[in-house]
Amino acid sequence: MSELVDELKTLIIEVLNLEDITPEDIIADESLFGEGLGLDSIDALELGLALQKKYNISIDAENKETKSHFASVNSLAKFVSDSRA
Amino acid sequence: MSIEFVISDWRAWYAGVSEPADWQRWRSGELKLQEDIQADVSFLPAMLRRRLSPLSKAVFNTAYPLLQQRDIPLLCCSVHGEAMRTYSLLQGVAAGEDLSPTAFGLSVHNAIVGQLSIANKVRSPALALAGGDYPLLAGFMEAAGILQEGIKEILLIFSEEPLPQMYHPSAESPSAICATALLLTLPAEGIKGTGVTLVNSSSIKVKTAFEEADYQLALVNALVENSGKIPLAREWELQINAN
Repeated sequence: MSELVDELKTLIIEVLNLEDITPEDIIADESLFGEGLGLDSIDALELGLALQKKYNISIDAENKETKSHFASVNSLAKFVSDSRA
Repeated sequence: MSIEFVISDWRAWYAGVSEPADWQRWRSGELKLQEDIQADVSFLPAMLRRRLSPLSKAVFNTAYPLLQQRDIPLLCCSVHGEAMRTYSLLQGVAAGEDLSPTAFGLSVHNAIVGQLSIANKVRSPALALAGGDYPLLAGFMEAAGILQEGIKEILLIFSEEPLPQMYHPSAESPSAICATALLLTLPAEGIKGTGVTLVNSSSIKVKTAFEEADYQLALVNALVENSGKIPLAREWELQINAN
């Protein structure tokens, strides 16, 4: 799982052009949106697209649980690993 | 017919030349243009900067220091806008790929002026204009209309980037990224700056602003010289300090 967490941090930095941020700067259990890293709704779409491409998983924008999957890197890692299983 | 303006301040970015003193050195041949260089926007927060294209960086580099956080109307003129972004999206469509929401959102014609207004907390109108073959004329005409409505000051911006190779046989574009920003008012008591007159003259024959591919350079040249006449379109020219 920690390998996946690191991979996701790198993915976030790459697809969202976070030029001044390193993987170490992203705290795995801290909020990605609003407070914490400070990503916005367009980032959520971009990240969703990147996850679908890279891990071949489907994300349902209508599903209420989707928002909680995107809360932090840890929750994303759990979502990706569950979806792949 | 003629319309008078005052340019109280201006900035331009082209191939690494940006500061007023640099433009003087460029005019006198001391400063060479650089290739493959992007406009400096290190004054912006990283989270804002990360979404700027090379073209929008040039706009921010010119417009941001002139605005100084003031809330005045913005008028952003560009014939082709974010052509490179749009082109890469179209390539994605052709390849059957899912499109990047960020790239799509920022490819629209008012994306740059929108980002500029957000970054400066501008709540005044922010307008994006294409201007067809005559962006300078369209920009100054629109600015005249806005100022005539009682607005005291606007920021008029021109920006262009070279079109992708594929379009070269059918459309004109500049050889490098260029942005010009002008703080514009109508002449009045106590207003200082460069006098500019938009003049209707039957002797002017210009087919398109892109007859001179880097159409903004003629304007910048006249602003550096503090005098000059710039043909804008058929029967229209801009005179700097003619009076």
